[in-house]
Amino acid sequence: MRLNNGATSAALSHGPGGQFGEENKWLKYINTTGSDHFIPDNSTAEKNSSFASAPVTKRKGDYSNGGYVYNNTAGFGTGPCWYGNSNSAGYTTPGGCPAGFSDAGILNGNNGNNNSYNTNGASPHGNAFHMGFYVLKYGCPAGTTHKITIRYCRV
Amino acid sequence: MITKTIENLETYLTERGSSKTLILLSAEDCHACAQFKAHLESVESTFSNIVFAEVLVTLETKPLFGPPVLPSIVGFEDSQRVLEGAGMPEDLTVANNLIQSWVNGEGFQYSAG
Repeated sequence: MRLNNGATSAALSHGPGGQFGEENKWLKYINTTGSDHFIPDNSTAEKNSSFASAPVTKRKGDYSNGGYVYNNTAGFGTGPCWYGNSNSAGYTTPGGCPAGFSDAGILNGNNGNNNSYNTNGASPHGNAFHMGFYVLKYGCPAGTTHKITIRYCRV
Repeated sequence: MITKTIENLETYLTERGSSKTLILLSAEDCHACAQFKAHLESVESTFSNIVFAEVLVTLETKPLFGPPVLPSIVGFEDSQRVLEGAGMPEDLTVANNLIQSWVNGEGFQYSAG
């Protein structure tokens, strides 16, 4: 909601209310600051809209760990889907990090399958195949394995 | 590219006789298999004397004649395995060259491992 200088808002329902229900719940904003202001409605839609339109740089990633936001890249091992084990396959160098994210090294995984984590809600950090599914959204058929290389990209 | 079941493959290859048949061993839920199939279909018309056939396999039905990797290609003449491409090469022209070498009567194998 934009409240121009000198304007008064409509009656707004902000806050949880008190022990008598409506008590302390309703208010009006009166702008005498000399400037126009943005005052968010008490709604999820306005909150999301405010985040989306905030005039700041946003770096969106797949998950968070240790205070960083990660947006990794992945290289699917050659072969690629091996019966038994994937030892005979080579690793594939992942692409560079997306703009704004810093390269924090790579991690190889062998004899696993990204698809084993397609419904796993735990943090993927440190598990090459779990992170691989986050990046690629695919793996190998059941009963086969592949190699994967993850490039940690974080901000 | 036609599709054949693993159960009917032996009969089909017998019917093909000495004609060249290229089998793509593939599987459900195999991203690379779909990529490789799309590539082979894009060059299939170049090799008009070869029939390209996809065979979907599982851990339980994978054939002994195939390499231990998916996707793979295997060429047959007179029901005999005469060509093998193990895996999907990063450079897909490697597969094209292998098939062309088959047409030319030359060497018959690559490995993407």
